[in-house]
Amino acid sequence: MFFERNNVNVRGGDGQAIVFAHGFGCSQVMWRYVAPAFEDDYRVVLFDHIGAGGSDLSAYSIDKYSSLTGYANDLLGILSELEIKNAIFVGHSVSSMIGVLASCLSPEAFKKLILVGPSPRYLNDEGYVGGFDKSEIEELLDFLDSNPLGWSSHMAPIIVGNADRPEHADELKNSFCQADPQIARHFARTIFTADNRADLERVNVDTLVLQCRDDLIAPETVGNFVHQHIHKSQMVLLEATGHCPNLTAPEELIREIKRFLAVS
Amino acid sequence: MTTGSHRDCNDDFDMAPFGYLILSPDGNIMRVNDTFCRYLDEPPQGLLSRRFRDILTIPGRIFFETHLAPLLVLQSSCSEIAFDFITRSGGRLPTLANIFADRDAGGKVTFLRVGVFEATDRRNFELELLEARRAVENKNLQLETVNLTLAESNASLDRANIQLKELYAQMSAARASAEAANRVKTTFLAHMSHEIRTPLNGVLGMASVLHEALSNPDDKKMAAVICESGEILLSIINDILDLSKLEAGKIDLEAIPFSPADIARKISDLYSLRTAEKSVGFRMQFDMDAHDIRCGDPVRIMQIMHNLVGNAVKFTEKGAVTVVIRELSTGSVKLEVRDTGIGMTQNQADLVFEAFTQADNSTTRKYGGTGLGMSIVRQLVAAMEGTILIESALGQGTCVHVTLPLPRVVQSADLTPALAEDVRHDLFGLRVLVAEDNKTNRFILGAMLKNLGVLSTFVVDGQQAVDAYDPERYDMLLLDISMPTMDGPTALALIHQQEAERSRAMIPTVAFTANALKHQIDEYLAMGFDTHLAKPISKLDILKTLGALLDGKPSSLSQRA
Repeated sequence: MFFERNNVNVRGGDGQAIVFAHGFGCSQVMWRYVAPAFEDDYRVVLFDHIGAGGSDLSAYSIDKYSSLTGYANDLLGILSELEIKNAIFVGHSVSSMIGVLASCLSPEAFKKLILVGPSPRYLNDEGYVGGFDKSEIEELLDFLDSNPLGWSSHMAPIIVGNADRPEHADELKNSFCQADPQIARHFARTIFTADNRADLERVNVDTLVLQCRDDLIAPETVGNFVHQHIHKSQMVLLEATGHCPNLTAPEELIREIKRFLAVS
Repeated sequence: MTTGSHRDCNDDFDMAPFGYLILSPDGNIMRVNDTFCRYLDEPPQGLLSRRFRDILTIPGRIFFETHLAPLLVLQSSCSEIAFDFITRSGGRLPTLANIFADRDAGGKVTFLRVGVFEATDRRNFELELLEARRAVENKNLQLETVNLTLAESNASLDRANIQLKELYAQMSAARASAEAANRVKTTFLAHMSHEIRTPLNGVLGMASVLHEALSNPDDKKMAAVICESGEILLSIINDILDLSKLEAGKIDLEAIPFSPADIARKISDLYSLRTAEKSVGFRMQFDMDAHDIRCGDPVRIMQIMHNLVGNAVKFTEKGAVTVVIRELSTGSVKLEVRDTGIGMTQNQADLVFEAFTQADNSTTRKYGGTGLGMSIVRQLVAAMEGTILIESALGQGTCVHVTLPLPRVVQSADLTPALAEDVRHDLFGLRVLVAEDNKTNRFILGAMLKNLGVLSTFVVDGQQAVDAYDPERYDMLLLDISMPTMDGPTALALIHQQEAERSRAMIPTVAFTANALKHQIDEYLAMGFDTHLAKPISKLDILKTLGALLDGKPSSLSQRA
């Protein structure tokens, strides 16, 4: 069931499983420069969150995906369906928190967590700097609400009311980050209003926090917060800048992940 | 005209009709054209060396970091991105931007080229489109709600309909069962009336024969009492049967020409004698044209008059009974029966039309009667579409007003066969063949026919009648309807066939039966009978019926072609 719905791809051998989860903004294609580096030694599992990439859009449910727990349950469902225990989990952006939640729900499913650009809360709070003011998040949600075509009409696979534009499908072939505008809007709301700070301390597996420099989405202070609250964690400040080192600095990312996995 | 090519390129860059920026791979603004500077109301120096993401609003920044940066790595370009830029004064400029990543030979991104179209109008149109679409969706939602309400209304209508159908089915069943019960009742009454009349016919007939045979005055008086009591019993049975038929709506009213003057004369003849016996006055005031012919049922009108005048005479001990028959301005006929009798209270008058009710029980004991008379009158009047009204005062008398809409018939006055008295009284020497299975009826009919000088031959069933039929020997044939072996109608059909084969004319035939309801009589006439004679019989009936038949006009009230 999950295999189809979440467009799961399994590669590599029968060894230790390593699961790569993409973040907000794209799909499993985000891992195209990283995942192949693990196929020789690991059973590599890639998938799309419901609403992204090649997932089954009809499986999207406003109720289920109004909290990150919905996505965490999908992740556990995929592992269960593949009969994977003690997985190494690599989560980028919002998926780092989805991994944290899944490991709280089912600790035996995970052996190690690798969190790339994690943030338990994007909104600033008293004594906590998440990176965004409430008004800024409201501006983001307003922008998505008032733009029926989303960020770009060239990224939307399904445009409500434009089903009579078949030529649009051709334009999409060149876009890796398709997203249904309505689902993207709801996903943004779920992500940017989430607060999973309390969940960090419940994590009981070895965790690596990979923090980029100059990351607008997940600043260094947030990475430090995550590291401080997961007791079995270590943190590496990458040379990479921005929020997507899996694309902009894949070699460095691979190196740090392998270094962490080498220590058993 | 000496401008070089480098200068031309710069001009093109700056004068392009859209904003143009060149960024370093990590997003620093390296070059910007005049058009873009105008968009943001910034001098080029104000923009150079700033980071591209810093002139974007928050949504643009988040998109840049989460979507655009990976896309540019994966596919080198992205078009029609909805960016809002922040102007120098802090305002928002909606744009659509295309971004292209230039790479060196090794595939490394060297710089990013950004083309920006000002898109305020387009974004407004999109927003209007969105609002219009939401309004449509909202309307659809309302329509769905209306549809749902309609569906619910329909469902409840359907339920009501089903209930109505069930109710209708129940009512139909109840009606069918009531009608069945009524048919049973009518059949039962018809049957009973036949069953009761037949022996009563025997009693009355024999009493009548006995009365005439006796010579001792005391004996004669006793026989007379039997006759009178039998007549009363017969009238009670007739009343009950009439009322039952009236209540079941089974009464068949005639619509034939008759003379109101005749009715007045008969009533006058009968009741002037009766009132004289009680020393009560009687006055008949006939205020119509003596030759006026009306269309209606004279027998039933006589029945009404008998009941009303009979009551008036019965309840009046002194004074007078007055009957007025006149024509109203509307053409209807008004019957008025006034007495100076015991009268009634309003309560009693209110109950007078209820069946089996008289003023009080003592009335029944003192004056007799079934209490059905006025009920029958009311129902008859209603059946004739007339009206009836009672005025009464206790101790002073009663006046009953009946109005009947009897249409006037324009024809000569003597077409009143039913009430005409011009029957032949001389049946002497008439030869009659009679088929009758009932021994008592044979005896009575035989005695009466003998008394009238008629020569009668009796057979006991239809077959014997067919065998005995001979127009040379008989002048008339009387056939009972219900007989064993062969009934009357079958015998008649055989005789008709037999005589047709012999090319002989039929002698007159009479249906002799107690089944004398109108539709039954019509059936007999249709079978070929010339007339009918109803049981129980009287000598007068025999005289009238057989006499009329000899005169060539059937006495039956039913009209034959």
